[in-house]
Amino acid sequence: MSHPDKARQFQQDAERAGWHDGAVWHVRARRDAAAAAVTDWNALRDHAAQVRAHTLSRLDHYVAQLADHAVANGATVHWATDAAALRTTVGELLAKARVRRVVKSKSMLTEECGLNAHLETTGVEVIDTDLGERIVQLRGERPSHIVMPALHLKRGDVGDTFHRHMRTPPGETDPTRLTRAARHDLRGRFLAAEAGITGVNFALADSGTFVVCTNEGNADLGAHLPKLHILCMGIDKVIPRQADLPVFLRLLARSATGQPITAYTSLFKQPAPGTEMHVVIVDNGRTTVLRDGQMRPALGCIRCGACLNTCPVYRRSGGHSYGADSLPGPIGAVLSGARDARKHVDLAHASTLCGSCGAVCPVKVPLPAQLLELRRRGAGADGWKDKAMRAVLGHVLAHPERARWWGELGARVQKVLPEAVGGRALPEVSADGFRDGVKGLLEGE
Amino acid sequence: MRVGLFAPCFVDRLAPRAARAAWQVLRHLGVDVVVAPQAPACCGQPLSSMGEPHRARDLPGAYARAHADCDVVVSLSASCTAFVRHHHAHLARPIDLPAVDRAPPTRTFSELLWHDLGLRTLPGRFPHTVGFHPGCHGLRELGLGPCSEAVHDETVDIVGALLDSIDGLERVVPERVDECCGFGGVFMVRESAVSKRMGNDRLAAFQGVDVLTSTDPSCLLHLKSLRRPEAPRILTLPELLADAMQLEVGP
Repeated sequence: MSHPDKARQFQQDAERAGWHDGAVWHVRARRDAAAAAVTDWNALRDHAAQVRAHTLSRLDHYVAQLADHAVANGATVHWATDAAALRTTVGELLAKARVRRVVKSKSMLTEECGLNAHLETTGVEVIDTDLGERIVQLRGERPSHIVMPALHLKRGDVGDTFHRHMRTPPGETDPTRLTRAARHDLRGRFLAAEAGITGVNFALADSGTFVVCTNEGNADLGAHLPKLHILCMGIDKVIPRQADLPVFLRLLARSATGQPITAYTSLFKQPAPGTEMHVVIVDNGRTTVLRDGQMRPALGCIRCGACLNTCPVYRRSGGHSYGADSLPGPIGAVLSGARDARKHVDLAHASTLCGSCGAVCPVKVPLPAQLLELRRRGAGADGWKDKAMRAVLGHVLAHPERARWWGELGARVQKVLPEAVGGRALPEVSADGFRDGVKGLLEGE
Repeated sequence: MRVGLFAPCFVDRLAPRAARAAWQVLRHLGVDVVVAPQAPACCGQPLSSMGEPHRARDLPGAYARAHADCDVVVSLSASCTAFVRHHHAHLARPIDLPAVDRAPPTRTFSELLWHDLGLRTLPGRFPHTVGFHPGCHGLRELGLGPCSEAVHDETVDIVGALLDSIDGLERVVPERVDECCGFGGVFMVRESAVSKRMGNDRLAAFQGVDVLTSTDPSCLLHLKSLRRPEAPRILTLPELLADAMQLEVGP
């Protein structure tokens, strides 16, 4: 099913769709207030965009520097060219340590690479420990948002899920009691886990340090309790200098949720005595995007989700409408389209090109221009209806001398058409139009 | 100052009253306004946003040559204006580039009033409550006003200021000042469910105002097509101004 079909399904429950729009808008409003409270917000954005552009211009150098420092600090570095390589690498690390139970904090990269499903086939139990991710994991769903995975769910939905899996009282909707139940359930799993997997928000090349941001402290428990800590990161997470980290931290939390900073910001540098720290650095198509001049800036994305929250289409179609093989929202449409424009052409069109995503982005990814370019690249893969529409419109619009003829035809055809089609009134087509009318005005003088 | 009035394709056929109103208003303000007979029907934006800019490659040159003897062109859609201003130079055939480079600047109706005519107070009287829906491209590509996600944005809201200057007009600003209406050209067809929802939400935001106006007649045509009985009266900016100035523009 393409995006328009899934979006139509999402809109079938009009009331719930309206609630979703309002809930996501609320997050954007919090971001607006938090950003406005920072006097040098625009300078931060400029600085961050420049750091990202510079880093991407010599990514090979900085990734190598990062790996060298990480190894010197005592971590083990693994390289994964694609999703399968990440799955195999992590699977082998766990098998070697005879791990059966893993706790994992939030990581869009492991979603992208299908890590959970793979580990489960090898008999390893993977528990997502981010509350939102845990909720969607229990429901057998995928995250619908980059930062807030269970944003599409209401309290009642969470209550039902917890009732089934954690034996909370039926009909429980109190967020505090539900969260307490989840904490209680997770605590035992943290203690029983033999390995912890985390994502990486930023990796500092000049010191070989890995930065993980959470609001729940779940990454810290997962990294510190077991003896084995595996960090999974895309090559795009590198920042050259630790000195620039505060700029990104200030932008990230405010853009994401309107918080001044995430509740937990942990810097992992070396394994504690008697423990192991492994870093898997993944490409999985990123170098292809890196070589693509127009799409490269999208690799600068820091996954704050602000473009989703501001997108009027995302808010009204939900994260799942972007498909299982794409991140949701404008950044998802661009990153997926950059890899395969024809396959994801419906996502490039899941936008009015209103421009809000580009204006809100803390690292200034030119998302609207990229979406437009991806429409061009993907045009050949459209359905026949879209192709026919383009052919006719292209002909009409490109030949002004025939516009009058088409206008008259339109006015005549309209007389036999119903007043409304597909829930819309058809506009009245003027047979002579303004231009022909104005000729009379000119001649009359 | 010789002003070329460009009525983009959909304005010419679907909203000709907006163009007649602009014509009357500008003439009444003493502007030397002409309509270039050789101008192409379209600026090329629909083709570009559908993913086939190559079909529109002749249009920038034709547009530029048709308006070569004007000092400035006023296009009645902010979105088309943005396309001419930001995309024509990239889209044009190399042989057309000199003409495109020399072409007079293209303005929106509000920019013409504010920048070229230097107006800060508009004439006439319009004793109604008015909701203003800023078209997204006028807002974010042309900077006709500050956009809500921009921080510390000191862009002057020229359309708001012009509307506020009309005697009797009371402007109503909704909570989401610049939420997209869901038109989006080809988007309206491809993503009709979301498009209609966005349009209905936008109309709901302006419920209770007497008149809804916009920098873009395309947004207004889309909102009109939703057939909401409770929707306010919908007028383009030139129509609103013609009404305030009591100019005859016909049906």
